Amino acid sequence: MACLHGRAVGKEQLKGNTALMAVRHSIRSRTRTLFRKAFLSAFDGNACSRRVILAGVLSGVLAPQIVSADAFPGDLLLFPELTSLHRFDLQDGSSLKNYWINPGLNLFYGLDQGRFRFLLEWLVDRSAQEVQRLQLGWRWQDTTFWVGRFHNPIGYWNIHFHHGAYMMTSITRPGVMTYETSGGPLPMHVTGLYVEGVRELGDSSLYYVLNAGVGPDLEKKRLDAFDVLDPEGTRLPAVTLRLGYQPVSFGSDEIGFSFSYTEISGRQIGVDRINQIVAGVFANWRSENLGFLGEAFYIHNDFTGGASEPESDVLNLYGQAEWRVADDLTLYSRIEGTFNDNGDLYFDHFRNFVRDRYMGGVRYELPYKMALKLELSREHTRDDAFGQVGLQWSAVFP
Amino acid sequence: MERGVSLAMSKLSFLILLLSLASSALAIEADGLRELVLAASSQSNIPKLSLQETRKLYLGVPVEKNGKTIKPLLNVSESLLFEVFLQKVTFMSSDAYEKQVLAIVFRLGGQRPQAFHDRQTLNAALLEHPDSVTFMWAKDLDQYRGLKPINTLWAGSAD
Repeated sequence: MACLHGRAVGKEQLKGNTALMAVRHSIRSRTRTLFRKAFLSAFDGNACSRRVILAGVLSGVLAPQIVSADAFPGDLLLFPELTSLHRFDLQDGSSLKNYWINPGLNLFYGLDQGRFRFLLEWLVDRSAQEVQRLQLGWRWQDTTFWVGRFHNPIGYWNIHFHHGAYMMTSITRPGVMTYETSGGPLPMHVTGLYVEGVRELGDSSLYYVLNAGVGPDLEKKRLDAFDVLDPEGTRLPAVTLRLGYQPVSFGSDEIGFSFSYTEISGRQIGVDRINQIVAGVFANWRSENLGFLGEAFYIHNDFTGGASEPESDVLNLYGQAEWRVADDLTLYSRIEGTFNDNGDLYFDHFRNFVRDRYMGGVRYELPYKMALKLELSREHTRDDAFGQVGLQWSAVFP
Repeated sequence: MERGVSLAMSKLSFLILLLSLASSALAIEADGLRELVLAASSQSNIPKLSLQETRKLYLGVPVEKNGKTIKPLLNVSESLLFEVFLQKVTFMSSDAYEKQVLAIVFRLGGQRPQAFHDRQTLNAALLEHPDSVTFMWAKDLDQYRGLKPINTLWAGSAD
C-alpha cells in the first residue's frame, strides 16, 4: 500500500519545498508564455494547430500536478497505451491494414471547488487528437448539472471505460461501442447539457443520467462528433436517458437500461435525415474472481426524404466473461453479434464496423498500475472476415 | 465497630470491582480489541457521519455537511489500520478499492482521497483544513495534536 495513488505526502516533500518553488516558478512562466501564444494563434490557426496549441497549453498548466499533487487542487490521471494489431486472412483489396500500431495518451483532469466541478479528458492517438470530455458542472446534493462535451450514456461500456485503455480488461471495445473516429455506428459523444446523480435506497442505489445536446454529423466514412475546437458540420438534437440499479451503492455491479434519440444529417447516404432510436439493456456483475458484462441494443432508424426503405431495425448483442486466475492474471472472452444489418442503408455506410466478433484474451498486471494484454479474435465487417492478434501495454499514472 | 466492618467491606468491594475492570481491560487488550474512529480538527463543525456516508466519501464521491464539502484524507501510516478501514468501511480489498476509486473519479469527476504515510503531515493537513477528516485507532487519538473524534466507525478484534 506504500504507493497508494502515488499521491502520498511525506516529510521529504516538505523539505524539498524550496527547490520545488523554483521549478514551479519556471513552469508558471512557461505556462504564461504558452497561454499568450495560444491566445494569439487561436484566432488565425486551423483546427489541427489549435489542437496542438491546446495540447501545449494543457501540458504547461497541468505539468505542475506531477511535480506535487499536494500543492495544486484536482486530480490528474495519465493513461498511456501502446497497441499493436496484426490482421490476417484479409480479403484482396481490403481497406483494412494488415498491421497497425497505435501509441496513445489519454489525459484526465478532475477538479471540485465547493459545488463547482470541472472535468477534462483529452486524447491523442493516431485516429483522434481531440478533447473527448470537457465538462463544467454544479453539484446540488447528489446530482450534478453539467454543460459541455461528454460521453453519451448509452449502455454500460461507454461511460465506465471512456478512453482509458488500462480501465478496460480487454484491448478492443465492442464493435457497437467503437468511437466515431474509428468508424463506430452510434453517437458516442454529445455536446450540451448532462444531468447525473444517485438516489440512495438503503445500501443500494439508482444511478440516473439525462442528457440533451447536439449529436454527430454523418461524413463520407464515419460519424463526426461535435468537436469543441472545430465545430463544423450539421448538428441536430440528441437526447439520452439512462437508469442503472446498483445493488451496492458505488460498486461495480449494475443492471439497467438506456434510451437514446438522435437526429443525424443523412445526405451522405442519400436521405435528408436519420431519426435514430437506440434502446439498450445492460448488466455487469463481478465477484472476487469472476466477472460478466452483457449488453443488448435495439437500433431503429427512420429515414426521411429519399430512402427506398423508410426505416430499419437492427439488433446488437455482446457478452464478456472474465476469470481472474491469479492476482495478476485474468482470462477473458467476448462474443458479439449484429442481426438484420445486412443491406441496411445506415449500417452499410460503416464498412469497418465490426458486426460479429469471437474473441479471447489474457491480461497480465504489471507493477505500478501497468498491464499487458494479448488478444486473439475472429471478426466480421461489411466486406471482410478476418483474424486479428492484438498486443497492448497500458498504464495509469500516478 | 459495625461501621468499621461495613467500611472495610465497601473498600473491599470497590477493590474487587477495580480488579475485575482491570482484568477485563487486559483481556480486551489481549484479544486485540480496537476501536476505529473518524477524526477531525477540534475546530471543525463536522457532524457525525454514517458508515455509508464515510464509505461514499472515501470512494471519491463528494459529501456535503453544514454547507461544506468534506475532504477525506487516507491514513496509511499503519498497514493494519488501513486494512481494517478498507474491510470494515469500504468492504473491499486494497486492490479493489484502488480500482474502484479510480473508476468512480474517472467516470464522475472529482478527485481521489489524498494518502498520508506520515502522521505529522496528516496532523498538519487536518489542522489546516477543518473540513477534512481521517480515520485512526481511538487509542492513538491523543498522539495527534488538536483533533477530536467524530464518530466510531468500527470496534472489535483486529486479529
